[in-house]
Amino acid sequence: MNELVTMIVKALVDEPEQVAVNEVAGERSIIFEVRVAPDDLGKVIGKGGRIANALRTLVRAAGTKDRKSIWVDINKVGESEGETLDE
Amino acid sequence: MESIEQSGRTVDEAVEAALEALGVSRDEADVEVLAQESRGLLGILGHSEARVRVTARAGLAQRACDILARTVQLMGIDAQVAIVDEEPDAIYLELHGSPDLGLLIGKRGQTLSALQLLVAMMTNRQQHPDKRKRVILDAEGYRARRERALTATAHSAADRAKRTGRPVTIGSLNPRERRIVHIALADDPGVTTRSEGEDPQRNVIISPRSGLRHG
Repeated sequence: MNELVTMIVKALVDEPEQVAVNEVAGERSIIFEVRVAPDDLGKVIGKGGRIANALRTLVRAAGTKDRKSIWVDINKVGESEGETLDE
Repeated sequence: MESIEQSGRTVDEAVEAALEALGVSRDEADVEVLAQESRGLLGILGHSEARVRVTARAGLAQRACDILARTVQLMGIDAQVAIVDEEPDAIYLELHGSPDLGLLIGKRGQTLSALQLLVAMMTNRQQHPDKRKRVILDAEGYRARRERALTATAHSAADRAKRTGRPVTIGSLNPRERRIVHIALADDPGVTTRSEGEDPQRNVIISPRSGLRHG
């Protein structure tokens, strides 16, 4: 799944070499922490978060079989700000 | 991807000749200069020709198809991908042959729409804005079926509006679905249609045209 997130994000940005995806797997959840160059942020998030949400929808669908909740964080901005991860 | 090597008096001439041979324009090809021309001494001694390798980029439809295939594969789904049609401003792709396609379609086509958006963004990223194309993705005829069902719903809603003389609402439609309803009823002189509400749950209101009451 990491490979899926990485491939899509790299294909969306102008600076693919700056893309890093970190996978934080908990017992019932997986969080993908995506980092992109600041100038590329808009390309990954999209107007009103359209692209980021599409990415989340897709990754969740791909993860259905794992029965884990999946979230994709992009440069640590957005809705999950302040969430804690108990590992 | 087709690629040829070509020599010429200058780099420009070699590129021109190569593009001609490939039958593509400059912006549809990648050029690699293998050797610059050298004029040599007094234009005679040591003169050498320029040499280039020109590669025709795959068409946008093929690119979209490849991106879709790769994405689906990385999702762990074994499905076939095909280019159904290509228009000047749109590429139609279809997924089939997998028991997991329901997963790719998602609730009310949500996942399919997400996949369509991402494939379109990835396909068009490096394209000049004038050359971008919409990507329309279907899975086992899901959209086609949904479009037929929605058209039927639109017509029956229009009939009800005309019969009762009151507006009829079709709820929570995405832009593409709203467009299908508007188009389905555009030729019906008995009703008018308009969209109302906030995305993503906008409604289409079908109103009987005043003064026209049937039945």
